[in-house]
Amino acid sequence: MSLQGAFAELVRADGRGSLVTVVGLESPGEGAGTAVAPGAKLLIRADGRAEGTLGDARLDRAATEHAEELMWTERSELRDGPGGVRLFVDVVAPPPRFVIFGAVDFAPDLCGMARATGWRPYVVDPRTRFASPERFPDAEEIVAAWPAEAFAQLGGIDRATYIAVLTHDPKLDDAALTLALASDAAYIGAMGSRRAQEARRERLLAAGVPEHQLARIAAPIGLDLGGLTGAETALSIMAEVVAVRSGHEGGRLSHARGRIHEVGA
Amino acid sequence: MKDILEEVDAWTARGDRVALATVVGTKRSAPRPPGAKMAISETGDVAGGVSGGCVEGAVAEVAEEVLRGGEPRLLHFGIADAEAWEVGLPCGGEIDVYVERYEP
Repeated sequence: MSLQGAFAELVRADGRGSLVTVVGLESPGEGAGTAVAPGAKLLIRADGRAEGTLGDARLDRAATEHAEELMWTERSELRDGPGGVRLFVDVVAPPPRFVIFGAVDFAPDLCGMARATGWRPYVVDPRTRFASPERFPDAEEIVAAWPAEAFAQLGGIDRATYIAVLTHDPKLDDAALTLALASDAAYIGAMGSRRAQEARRERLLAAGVPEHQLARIAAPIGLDLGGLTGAETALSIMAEVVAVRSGHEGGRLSHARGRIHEVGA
Repeated sequence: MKDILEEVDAWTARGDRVALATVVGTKRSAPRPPGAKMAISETGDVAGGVSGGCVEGAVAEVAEEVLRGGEPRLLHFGIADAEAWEVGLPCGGEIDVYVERYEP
């Protein structure tokens, strides 16, 4: 199988990886080895395994760095390699994973909205009465277990995982937040009034969570939509994670001066 | 890429050669992001797109050259000039498209 074929296989399987292609040479024969030719390819998988070569060891190393960065930011981009070599880093990533911790009243709305947006929602709640398949037909998986066991069942929390902590029960929320803060999660949101947040902050500090880590918690969770119903609350949370994923603030476009679509340079 | 794979698989299964055009760079408001793809079979089938219809025709011509044994090509499309009837993007963006053979 060719490297293009292997990349297509990753796409079919909702896998993660980068296919780097030499698309241009600024000054052929200089800098990078003369074996470098347009069309040369290097495939990097999420576990770091590499296949193929761009024709030069230094170029392969630079390409691998770009590949590993972009497969997690989930953007395909042109990059310049050593010796004026133009590289296209094509990225494939699975749909983003959204862990909804707490099968609360509006959690089914949030789960459905995540699915409709093309995300993969996972619902976690140790209270089996709430975490039932009937309530969450859109869930990729429902895990009725305590956070440590649940996150282990989900294969850990990676850099492309978004977590909303919603139970309102301090012993459940704190356990989930402590684990989430120890991970590379892309986003950690938590419900709660400002007063509840202050109390949570004290508890987490007392439990040994470093102070600088607490700033990673997005609380109160969601964008300021002023919604009142459960579905509107779910929309506000979903809107926030979409904005965070694309690096936007989430304001109104009619008030914005920046670009509507984030495009590469 | 997922949007074109089913068709590409069908073409390669029947023995067609296939070219792949990929958006590699965009400036300003380009209609499709880097990574967007169009596939072209040697019998003239097309799947996917690189610009929402603005430059697909020009890309398909280059793809045919590549399928006839030409080298891979990096194409640049700028803003459309309506008077000169040049191929371009009316939306005011610019895109770079890389065209190559696809080997399954």
